[in-house]
Amino acid sequence: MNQAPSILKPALISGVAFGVVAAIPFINLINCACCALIIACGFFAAFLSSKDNRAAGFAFRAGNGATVGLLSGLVYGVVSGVLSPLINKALGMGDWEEVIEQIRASGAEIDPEMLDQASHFLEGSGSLVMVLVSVFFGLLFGAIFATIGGLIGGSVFKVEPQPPTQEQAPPPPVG
Amino acid sequence: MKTSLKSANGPTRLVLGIVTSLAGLWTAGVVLAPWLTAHDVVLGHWMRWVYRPGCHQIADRCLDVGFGPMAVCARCAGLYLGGTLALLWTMTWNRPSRPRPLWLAIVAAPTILDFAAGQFGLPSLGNWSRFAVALPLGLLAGLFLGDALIEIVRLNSVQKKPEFRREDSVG
Repeated sequence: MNQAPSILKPALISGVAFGVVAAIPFINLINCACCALIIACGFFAAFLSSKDNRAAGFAFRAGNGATVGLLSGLVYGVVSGVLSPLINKALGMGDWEEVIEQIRASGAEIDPEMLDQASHFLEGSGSLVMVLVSVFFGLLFGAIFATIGGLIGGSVFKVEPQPPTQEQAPPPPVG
Repeated sequence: MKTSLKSANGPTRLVLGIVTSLAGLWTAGVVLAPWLTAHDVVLGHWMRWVYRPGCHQIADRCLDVGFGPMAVCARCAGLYLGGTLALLWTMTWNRPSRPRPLWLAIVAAPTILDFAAGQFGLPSLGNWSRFAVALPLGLLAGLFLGDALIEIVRLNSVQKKPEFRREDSVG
């Protein structure tokens, strides 16, 4: 009995591709449009998986889209989470100073000493903490928004199961 | 089969209700955050941070309904409102309203073009226009999402129901 195509391959392809794009500065600004890159990751994974299922003669539904979307979102989270801070550091770009400045400028009632301590900690702890935090948020947002993209993709690229072909009945006896 | 589909109506309405409520809260927060900030409630600042990962929040590109710039830009606001309205529609009728996939590409085109124009420094739409252009895309995405949720719930309801006595009698 044929098995349904694996969802791992489309999830990996989509997650890695969009994760790499998301790690590139300026291009990752696309995520500022309602996490469009992450949603597109899940959507594209659903498209690839539905293509495989259609070719193999299997159904593809919203649930399948959600599953492959979730998996692709997790891959996206790891890839973008690892690459993004490394690329930013290589290019001399740091998000944390900007974040701390924005917190100060927002007027939120936070102890300035605490902000200074957080800033020093982040500067001193090096890339590892940034990578870990980046991976955490990448996984969180990847899981949520890529699943939504996969759900929508599962509905858009729906494949209904092929009706079983009836074996031709033997012709009735003559005479 | 008809019995199974009927019995799935309750669960689908419940799931749609939960998801629509969450979407409604998320969308309402976009307006609530600046309202709270305008009334010197600190929670408003923190609410803006929740929306930060998904939006640039540039004040000039956010709608202002009298309390200050919303927590997300006009485009995101249109997408969120459209999606919420579509989920509300699907929940009300409790049946899929899946449009043709081609329509998704058609309504996405203006938003994509406007976004690309902005990125390349070309003239782009004003805030309310951007909101109006994004609204149909949010609507259609919400309809597809609603269709997906109904299908998942109904499939699970059908699978869980045991097969009852078959009425086809033999002989």
